[in-house]
Amino acid sequence: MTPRELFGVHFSIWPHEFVFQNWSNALQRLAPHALTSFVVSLATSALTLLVTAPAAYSVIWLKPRGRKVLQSFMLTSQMLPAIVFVIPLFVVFSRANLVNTLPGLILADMTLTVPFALVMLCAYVQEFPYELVEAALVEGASQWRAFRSVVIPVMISGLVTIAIFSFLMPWGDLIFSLSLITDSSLQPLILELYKAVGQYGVDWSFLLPGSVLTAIPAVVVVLYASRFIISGFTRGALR
Amino acid sequence: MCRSWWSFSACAVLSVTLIGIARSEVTTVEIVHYFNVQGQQDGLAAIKSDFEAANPDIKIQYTYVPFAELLSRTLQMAAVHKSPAISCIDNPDVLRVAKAGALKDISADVTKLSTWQDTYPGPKSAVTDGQKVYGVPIGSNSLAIFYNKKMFADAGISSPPATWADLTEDAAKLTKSPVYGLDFSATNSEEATWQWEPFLWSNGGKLLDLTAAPAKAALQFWTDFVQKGSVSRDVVNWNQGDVANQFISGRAAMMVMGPWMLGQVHKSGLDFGVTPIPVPKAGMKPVVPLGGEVWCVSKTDEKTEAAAVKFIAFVQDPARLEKICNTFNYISSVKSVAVKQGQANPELQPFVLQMDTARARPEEGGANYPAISLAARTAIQKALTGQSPVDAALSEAAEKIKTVAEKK
Amino acid sequence: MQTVTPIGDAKDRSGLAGPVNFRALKKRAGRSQRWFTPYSFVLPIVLFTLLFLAYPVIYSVALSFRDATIDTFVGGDMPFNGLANYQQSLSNPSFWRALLNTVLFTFFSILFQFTIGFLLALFFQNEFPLKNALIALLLVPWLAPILTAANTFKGLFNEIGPFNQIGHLFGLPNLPWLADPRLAFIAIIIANIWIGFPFNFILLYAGMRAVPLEIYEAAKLDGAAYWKQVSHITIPMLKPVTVSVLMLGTIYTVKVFDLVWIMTGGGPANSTHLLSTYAYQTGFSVFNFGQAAAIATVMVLLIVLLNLLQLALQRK
Repeated sequence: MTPRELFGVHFSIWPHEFVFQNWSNALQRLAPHALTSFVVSLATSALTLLVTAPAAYSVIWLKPRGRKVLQSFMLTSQMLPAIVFVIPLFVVFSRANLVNTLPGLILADMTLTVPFALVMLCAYVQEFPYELVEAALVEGASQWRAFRSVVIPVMISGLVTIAIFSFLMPWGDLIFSLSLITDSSLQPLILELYKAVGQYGVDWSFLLPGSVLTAIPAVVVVLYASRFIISGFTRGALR
Repeated sequence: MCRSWWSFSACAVLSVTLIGIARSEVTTVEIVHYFNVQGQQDGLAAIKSDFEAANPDIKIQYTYVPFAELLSRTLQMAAVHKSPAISCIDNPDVLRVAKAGALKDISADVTKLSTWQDTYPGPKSAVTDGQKVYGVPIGSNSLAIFYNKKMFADAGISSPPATWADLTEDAAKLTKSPVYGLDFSATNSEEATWQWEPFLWSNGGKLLDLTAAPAKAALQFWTDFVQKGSVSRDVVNWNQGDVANQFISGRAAMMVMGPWMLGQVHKSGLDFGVTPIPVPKAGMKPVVPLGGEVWCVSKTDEKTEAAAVKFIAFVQDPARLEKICNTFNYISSVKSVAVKQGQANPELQPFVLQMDTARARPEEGGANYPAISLAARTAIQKALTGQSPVDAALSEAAEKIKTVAEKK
Repeated sequence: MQTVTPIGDAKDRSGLAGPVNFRALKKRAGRSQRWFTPYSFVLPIVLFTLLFLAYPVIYSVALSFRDATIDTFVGGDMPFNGLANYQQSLSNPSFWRALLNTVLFTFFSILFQFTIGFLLALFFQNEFPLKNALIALLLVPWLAPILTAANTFKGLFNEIGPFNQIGHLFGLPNLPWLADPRLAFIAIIIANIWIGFPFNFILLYAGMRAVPLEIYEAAKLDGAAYWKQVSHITIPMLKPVTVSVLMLGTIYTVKVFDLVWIMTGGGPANSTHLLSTYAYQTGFSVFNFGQAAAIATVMVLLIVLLNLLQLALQRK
């Protein structure tokens, strides 16, 4: 659909002619960046879970001292609007030479996902029956062993849900990629898409197919993982 | 054993240093810009290949940054001492960034350029601070009226509007739901002030004196269009890209627009014409604001700065300048080149004519221009949406501007 | 008491069927646990927090007390100016308008987002064909880049756009959605609800899934009707998840920026400015970073307040 049809006097849902050109152009422009987005999102998700799952479990059940401070700090840091984060992180990353690198972007995206994951996982973990762990401990397992063998399988549905969110948040993140990545070979999908909105007008012929293409992998991941959530319940403990 | 080890390492160090020196002969010039239209990208690529062919020891690297981010990116980089060699900064911001200490004064090199003497006074003032010069304009643009020839013919209007009275009359005649006679951009960004300035300044008004009669008349002129229904109420939400979309899809008979949109309007196949901004009364000259980006050299190191200056001299070569400006849809800031452009392309002629009287925006308020612009466009929006009458809106804005001007 | 079947170890657990003496277990377990284990679990996150979360927060608050504008920022020496930034902001009527807008925006967005998400989560507890596909489809508003959603809504709310055309079918005139201050505000709320409900939906859905079916079956045997079950079982059992979802939802909504910035830019005439867009304008259009940081700090205080309020209401 041309802009004429989109904004024209006779607005029509059904395009006059299917311009597949738009789609192939969009695909060509976006394809090289798909891998970057995928890597960043996957790494962010994995690292987030790695860092947050044990912490959530410990905060609720093992109760180290200072856990209230940690929890409230997580909430507080989430409350800052992202733009204010950008400048300090930029300064820190420049000193550590992490600007314009994928690890830097992953760490920045984690500042979005980790607090979220901690808050949500703490809620899910509260539903966890600690008796299971105690049973394992009685058998002589260490806390870590118990965590690996008992807690994780039972919590799997919550963990997968949070993993999905931690994957999706960097996928659509604009503000960190914008400020931290300038090398066009390292740009995630969303940055390429953002180029459609320029000072010279919105390039709808790229934005619309591009958005659908950008959303497709995310949808696929969710579809795949949601099946996991469902089956995770049949494997659940309280039955 | 020891001695041979020392001599070996000495050789190694020496050779590495030599290789290092040899390799470091290639200087990379990073250019940060926001040109995202395909034609502009092609233009940039052509410049790069030509320049690198002529200067094998310099490599050009382009970095695209979205328009809204360019300024903050420039500042961020400057703050951590990682500035790019060249930044393409929008001309009203140049002096601001220079004041912050991020740009190099290139007056010595610039005065040697043949094109500098021939540059229009407007663009020159945007990059000059006393004796210091902080950049060279890539090109300039401004605003004019684009009109739909077919709609004009259908409505029986024989010539495009030349005065405010004409514009009012034509817009009313051409408004036939769902088509609006005229559209302009009044969104909450610099674009609103930018689009209003031709009318304010042509009427003799000033941003620093918004309660004076010329300013009031200019804002009333705009408000009348909306109240009469000749201009859509949605203009307070449209940026220039949206306005162009409206015009191209036949929902507006006229629009206030600049030359950068010519390519897109041509692509749509619309039969249109361009005419200078209408003046309040016949015989007056339109005074339009200056747009266009500037090649600015950042403070980096001697070698990079020298390479950057070479690049600027290269693109300012009169032989190339016309081609570059045409690719980027600019009017050249250099008079002789601009005149040639106007002769070759009648659509550019109105813009060329207006260049003589075009004014750089920071002339009013200098470094405080962004805050002044903000106050002005709030007033514009309040008047257009009917939230305040014109007088009250402008008085409020004038108050804010006074506070800002007093601070620095 | 239901039988608890631990999983993971293949060892015979039959001896644990039936009621268990937890206190004895805890004592024994306590002895085999090292004192630093809880801390080792949280070590990675604490490190991460200190480096990447604590520093920016402190930097931001420190910035709010300094005169940081375009000149001083690059130069590096941003002079301390006490509460001046706060004073300037608080005396500006646009600030208060933005604050009010933020509160109203958050309240109405959360109200509708949560309700819609909750009802959908309830509905999806049933099994039916294509359920997974539908779930994925319902997530699209949240998955689609805000860029696209915002620009699309902008087009939909156009004076001659689809929303108004549908309105014509109901006899409504052309509403200037984005040009009228009040309508624009409603428009951004509608757009935000559309974007935010999947978040509520999926998290509540997962939480509901964890509620054991036996409890519902027991209630059904006792003769409880569907909505009674919901109010007496689902809602109470979901309390921790609900609190988290509401808290996070509040925080995210107060921080909403892209959507409003693209749709209205805070206009027309500052009528749709939220604190986030107002702070951005102060920081990046007028380049007063110190003041922007001050506004951001006020945002934080506001969120803390809202969360405390919510927690207090929850206790009732």
